[in-house]
Amino acid sequence: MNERIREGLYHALLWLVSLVFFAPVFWIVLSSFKTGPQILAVPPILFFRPTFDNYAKLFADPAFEHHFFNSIALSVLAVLIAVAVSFLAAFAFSRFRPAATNFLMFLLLSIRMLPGSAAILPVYLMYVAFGWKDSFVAMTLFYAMFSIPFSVWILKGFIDGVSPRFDETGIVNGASWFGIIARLTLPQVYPGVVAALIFNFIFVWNEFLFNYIIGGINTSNIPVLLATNLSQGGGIDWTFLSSLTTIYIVPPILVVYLFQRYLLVGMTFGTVRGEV
Amino acid sequence: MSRIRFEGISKSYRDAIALDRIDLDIEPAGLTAVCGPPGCGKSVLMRILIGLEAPSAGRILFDGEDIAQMPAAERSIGYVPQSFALFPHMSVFDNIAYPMALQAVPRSEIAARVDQAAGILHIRPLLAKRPSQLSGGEKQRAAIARGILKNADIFILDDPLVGLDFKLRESLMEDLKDMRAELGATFLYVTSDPLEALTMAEHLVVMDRGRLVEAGPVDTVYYDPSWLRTIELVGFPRCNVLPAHLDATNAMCTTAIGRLPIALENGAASADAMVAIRPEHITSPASGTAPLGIGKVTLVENLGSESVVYVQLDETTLVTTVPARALASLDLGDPFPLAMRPGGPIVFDRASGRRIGRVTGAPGEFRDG
Amino acid sequence: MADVRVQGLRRQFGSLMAVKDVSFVFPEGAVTCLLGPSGCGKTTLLRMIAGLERPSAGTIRFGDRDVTTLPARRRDVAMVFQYPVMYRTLNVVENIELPLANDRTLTVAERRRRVDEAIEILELGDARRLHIDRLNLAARQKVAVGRAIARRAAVTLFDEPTTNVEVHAKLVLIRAFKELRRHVRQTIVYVTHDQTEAMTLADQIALMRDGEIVQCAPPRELYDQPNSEFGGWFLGNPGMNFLTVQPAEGSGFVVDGVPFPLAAPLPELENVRFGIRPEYIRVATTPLPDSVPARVLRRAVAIGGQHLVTLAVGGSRIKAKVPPAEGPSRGVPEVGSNVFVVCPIEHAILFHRGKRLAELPRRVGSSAAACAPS
Repeated sequence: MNERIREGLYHALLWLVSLVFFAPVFWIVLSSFKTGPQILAVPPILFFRPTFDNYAKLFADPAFEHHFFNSIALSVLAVLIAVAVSFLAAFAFSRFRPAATNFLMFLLLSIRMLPGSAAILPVYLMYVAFGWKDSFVAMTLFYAMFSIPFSVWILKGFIDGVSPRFDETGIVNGASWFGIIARLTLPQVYPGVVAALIFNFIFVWNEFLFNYIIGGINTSNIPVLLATNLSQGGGIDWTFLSSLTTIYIVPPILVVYLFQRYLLVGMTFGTVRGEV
Repeated sequence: MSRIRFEGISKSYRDAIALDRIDLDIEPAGLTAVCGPPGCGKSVLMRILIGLEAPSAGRILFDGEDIAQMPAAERSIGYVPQSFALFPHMSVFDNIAYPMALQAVPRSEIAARVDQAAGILHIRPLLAKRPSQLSGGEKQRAAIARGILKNADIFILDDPLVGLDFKLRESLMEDLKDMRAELGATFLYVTSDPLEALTMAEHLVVMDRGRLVEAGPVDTVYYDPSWLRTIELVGFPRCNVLPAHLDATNAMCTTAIGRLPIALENGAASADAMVAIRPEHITSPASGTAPLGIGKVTLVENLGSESVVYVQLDETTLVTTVPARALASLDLGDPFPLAMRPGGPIVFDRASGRRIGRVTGAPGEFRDG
Repeated sequence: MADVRVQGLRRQFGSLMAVKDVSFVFPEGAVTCLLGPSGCGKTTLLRMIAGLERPSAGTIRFGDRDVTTLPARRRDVAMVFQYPVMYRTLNVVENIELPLANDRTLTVAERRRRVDEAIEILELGDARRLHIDRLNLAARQKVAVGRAIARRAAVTLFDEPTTNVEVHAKLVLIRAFKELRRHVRQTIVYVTHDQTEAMTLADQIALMRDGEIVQCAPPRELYDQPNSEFGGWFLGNPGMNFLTVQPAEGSGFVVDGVPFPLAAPLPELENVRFGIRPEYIRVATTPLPDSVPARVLRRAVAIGGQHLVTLAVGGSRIKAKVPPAEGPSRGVPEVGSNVFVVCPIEHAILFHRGKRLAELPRRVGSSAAACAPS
């Protein structure tokens, strides 16, 4: 009986913590269905007649469509390129173990540990010098480049967990390297690939600094739109903020929800071994 | 049928020598067991033969032709790797069919041959399953089926039974021998278990620390080894090896368990020798005869039909096997009268480990000072 | 110390029944080995006794104490795992002593005595002040055994403690365990898949299959008197030979052409098999009384220089163990040669649909002392 009570207390505590963290999200989603005065009312209004005016106004704005498209296109393209490149790199690191593999892996990770603001100036100067500022392709490549190190790390862990005996079985029976990589290794590390896709998708989706500095009107994404259009007529436009934010958080939640099965395995960073 | 010959094969890695000048002929159409302790180089030698690694020096000849440059896929070798390596994302059928699918064998022929191999290995009902749904033994059977379905005349099985239950090993060994007979191919069977090697082998290759110790028909290697290391590595339980002092003029040697009459074969190099006494050479004395000595039992391992008895005699521990029927219950510390079968034990030179003679009789006097 | 009584113990994982309503008593002060192939439920049963796994149904009692719902730490069990679980920063003595330090009822002197006893029996004297990191896997496992034994827990559990040590170290551990048993009586449940280990260590073996205990007996009896074909097959290297039996004219039966006269006819002769262990089969080059012709299919050197001979008898295959002998052929017929084999009925067991027939009717005039009914 004692155990039951303790278990119940644990669960109550966990629910409480979850609710505290979820409250801001709940508030913003709720606000998106309110009018401006309702949002700012004190005490907060919990029961009201929802309005869709905020969304109607947002969808009517051509800037929204442009930025939403940019966010989706940049995230998806950059992440696909990054994961494809990273997978090959991780395979090479794992299987051929070039000299100084450990050092190179460390170097890769250290790039990722660099704060974005420390790299922004040289990157900006480079992009200006090459004439890449506000270029969609250049922006995509930048995000891909920035996503690669972490992806290589995740994927190498997973590929290390796939026994080289699989490759050797392929080699002995006359499979090509492409066949070994694509048909024997890749299917065994799907969880790792999905984890890399999701982590990078969320990174690119949320990225503001570089988009703001080395991007421009062609490439700007939702975070930039949020920042630049926030202040309207001398105050913060809460209806705009709440409706755009609500839409903004939907794609990542969808992605995580659809792939959560893989994500949980991916979180263990390749410690779940391939079937041997 | 390809004759395989290794000529002076060496392999070194950055800091270690894995293989040191291996010269070896493999008997075609037989089962050759390559055995030795873990890390002795047996797997590396097989990987070089398969083409997964290149030798640092030496040649491998198939029917007299050097195959150093030949890609692994063209070597006509079927390979069953140590850890099954069944592709988890394919069905058992697709796993077994994999080598043939790569060789673009027609679909109908693949189906027929997979079915045949699955029949021999008793895995027909499992073909539609995924490897993760199989037990350890079933996985190994599937891996073997995949290995042997390649059109090849040499098949290499790298410690295929390691980690499997004892009883599974027993039945798989039987099936593998049947399969070898059916295929008529050359089997190379790598194992570090001496009993498994003896059970499987027609020919035995013994390796130790990157070197070839001895190779030959299994009976020769077991009964007439030329090297001390062979007798230490081949046989179960482990052979008793006692230091001995050689008296060449009187054809005797002195050991901790007495003076043994010997017949020298190659002329002794020095008086320092080793006598290898297999467990079966040590017995209990027949009733009415005096024992050589009375040891103390330190452990009795019960194998069912026989027991392995460890007997301590002064500073020496001797191992012997006793049929269970002949054994009243023995406990730790019980006295154990010892006798020795006449003939059998072999005498080796201590420094070189080379065989120099044979013990021809039982100890003349017990523990001669 | 207490006995362990499990009653109707069950553990289900989804649709898989890992342990099927087992009722069993692990006697006080005895070593009971749970032996069986992988997946037979032996580890699950052990983990339920330890309190690491919750039973789906049934009760567990230690003596008169019902521990079914108690967590592991309140059950008074000691356990040795596959890998030695050690306090890395402590030395050998401290590792063995630590669990005792929590027991307020112990005097310091008694604590010392138990630690010293464990160290002496396990021959760890030279290592007593060494840090655990400096010991190899086998020595650490010895320390783990010492720690478990020094606890004097109600029940001491071993979960395949020798699986991960190499062959020679395994012998050292087994010897240490045997030595320990001579000095300390405790209720021990020992799980293993290694029949040699079980036969060497156990006072009694509980043979498990598919979540059930199929037979429990002292090692010798389990080996000689299996109550099922499974037991005959599972124990022994190789296991028992089985031959299908045909009814004979009058009384008795026929195995591949050899008549085995019996005192009385068998009650039923459908699905009856004749089981005999390889070491009891005699192989000769000339006909003997009651012998059957056979052909040698294979031979191999086996344990202790014996030969394991595979023979074709009629349509069946049997294995025989031929003891080591001297001479050029070493007493073993060549592969392909024709021989004669005798399967002495006094060493045989008849099975009906996999279960042992209650009693094998004796042959007229046979002494048959070796086959006393169990």
